[in-house]
Amino acid sequence: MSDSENKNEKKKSGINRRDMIKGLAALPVFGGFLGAMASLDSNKVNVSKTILQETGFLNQSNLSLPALGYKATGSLLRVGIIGVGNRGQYILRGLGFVPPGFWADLQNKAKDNPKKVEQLKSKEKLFLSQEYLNVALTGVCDIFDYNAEIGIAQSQNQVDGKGGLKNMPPAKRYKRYQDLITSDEIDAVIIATPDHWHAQMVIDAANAGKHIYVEKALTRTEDELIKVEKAVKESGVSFQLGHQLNQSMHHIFTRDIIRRNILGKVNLVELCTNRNDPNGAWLYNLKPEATEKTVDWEQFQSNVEHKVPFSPERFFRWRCWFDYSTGIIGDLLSHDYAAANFVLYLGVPSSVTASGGVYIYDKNWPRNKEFKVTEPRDTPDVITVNMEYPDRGISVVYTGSLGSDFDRTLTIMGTDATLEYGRKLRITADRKSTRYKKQLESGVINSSDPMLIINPGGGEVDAISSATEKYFAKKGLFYTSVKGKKIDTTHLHIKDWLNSIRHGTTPLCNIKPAMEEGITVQMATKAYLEGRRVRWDSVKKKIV
Amino acid sequence: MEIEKNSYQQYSKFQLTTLVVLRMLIGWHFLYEGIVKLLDPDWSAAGYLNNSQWWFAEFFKWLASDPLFLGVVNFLNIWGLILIGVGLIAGLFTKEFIIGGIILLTFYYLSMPPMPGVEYAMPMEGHYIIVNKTLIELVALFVLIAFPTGKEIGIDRLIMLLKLKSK
Repeated sequence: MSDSENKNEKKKSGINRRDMIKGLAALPVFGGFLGAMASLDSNKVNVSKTILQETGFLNQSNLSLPALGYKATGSLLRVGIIGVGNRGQYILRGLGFVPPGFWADLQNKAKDNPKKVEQLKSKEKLFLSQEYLNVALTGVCDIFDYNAEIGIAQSQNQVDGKGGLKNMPPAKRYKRYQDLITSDEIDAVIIATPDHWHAQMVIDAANAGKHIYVEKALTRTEDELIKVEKAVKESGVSFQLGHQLNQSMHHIFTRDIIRRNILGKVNLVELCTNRNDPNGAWLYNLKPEATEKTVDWEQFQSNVEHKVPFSPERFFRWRCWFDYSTGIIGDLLSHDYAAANFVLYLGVPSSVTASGGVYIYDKNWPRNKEFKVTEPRDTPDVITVNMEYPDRGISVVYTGSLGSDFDRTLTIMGTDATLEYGRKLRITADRKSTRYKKQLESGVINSSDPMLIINPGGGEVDAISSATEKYFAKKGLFYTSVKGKKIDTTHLHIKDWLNSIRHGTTPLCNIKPAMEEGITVQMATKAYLEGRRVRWDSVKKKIV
Repeated sequence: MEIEKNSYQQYSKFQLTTLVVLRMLIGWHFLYEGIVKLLDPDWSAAGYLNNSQWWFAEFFKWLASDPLFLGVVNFLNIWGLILIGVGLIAGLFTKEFIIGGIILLTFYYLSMPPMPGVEYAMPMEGHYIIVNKTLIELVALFVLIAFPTGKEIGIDRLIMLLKLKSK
């Protein structure tokens, strides 16, 4: 039919057969689309979700953090802090206190780097959005004047819970921690000193009836552990060990995955730390403000066996010596152990072996001079620790290096699947799994790609297939958030503690998991120092 | 008569075919993106918006910050994608839906433009600088406005003829 004929016909009838065909030409396309959609039924996305639905995992409304239900009701809590170094200052920000001009100064220092300024601005926003916790910072104790002054400045500037700051009266400075602990103006103490002081301070605070938030590691020595446990239990005070990471949704999700037996029988757990810069190896800046006049060195080392003349190196970099700490074991292994203990309820291992050494930051480290290192460290910078749980049929291996920044994940291996715990959680079915046999055979899941990637930060659960996603999954999102709201985990951990003080709840890192961790850290330390397998005698409560 | 004045009457068969195929492919893409989101009860634009970068990042993050806005954004996204997809494939209200598609794609592009030096946490397949597939699809929709086909191949043809008949 020519065009002119076509037009003529149209004039007569309006719509002819040819027009109908042209008008509805899309019908087969819709048919094809629906066909393609129908074939998606066997798609991996749906199947992986089915697996999850069967286990009830997708019902995330059941999962939340105890600290989210914090109620700042009751009278004002008066908090004192012992140790206002970097970590102490951070905890105080978690509590809602910041020195005047803190964020502006940081942003000003970074002004040549717009990206960093942007980051700092968003951190400031996050800080200002923190909830008002109905606390006052009434006491500050530090043996270094410079830090004490920062603490006092912080005490005067508190978030008001409305996105702004309000003025508060300055905290009282204490030069001896005993005076802070026994003061009538203090209800609860935060202990963020070097490790060699933790035990005595916890014991004294418990005896004085003060609630306690103490940084890890719990103690420096084995002997201190039992005394700490006894004092805390007998006093009945609220006790929280500073493992703020246990407040992250990663942990909550992982614990749920294991509880729902998605991995099968868990038998091998790999924990790890990787760092590769002097700051990460605790070679902190030696502040020129620290002199024999501004630091009460005698008090610092009064409970240390091996006494030395005033040493800024030892003062700032105390994690490098067993005199004051347990080094990488108490500082870093403890984090990973706490995570594993939280998700798997591991408890104290029946035996531990450890080996390693000072392999990076030894006397031949080329930058010793630049970093003003005069005395070599004795805590190891490369270490392997094996923890055995024969009753559970689980081996836990920790490897840590301060000389490699390789990006590894915490890995939990089970007979049916493996969970990799990085910024995202990735679960990959095992090739020989019996549980997922059907799905593996039919090809709806395979053992070379994760069957599930969970991004607790984004609050999303997605089963994925593309290699690109797999590659980028490692990058993940740069922050964690709870139900869509970005929250600092230290802030949550403190809330959890305050909640237990106000409402009698049990804090997440209470004395039970704290002791399990403390014992494990001491076992690993002893195994490393003595070069042998050590066991825990639960009757005598002693490492043998 | 209007039909005789329309420029697409001048298309060769090959020109018409390629334009209609392009229209339907873009429609297919929109439709599936919409349906996937509709079928996924956990889908939300929040993650996407929160990862916005560049000049308009604050605006997109602000959208994500309010549950009410976010609900509206999610609803418009899902149903916008589905309706635009159906419209483009079927050739129904073609011009209007193409404009809708251009608006959506403009938002997508501006929330995450591949500008030099801007890095995204969200996965992005392929490698782009300034130009990405969203931008190309956006410009392709402009091409489809410049060279309309709905009244030749599509339900718009039937609508037009019915209107003519009623006159």
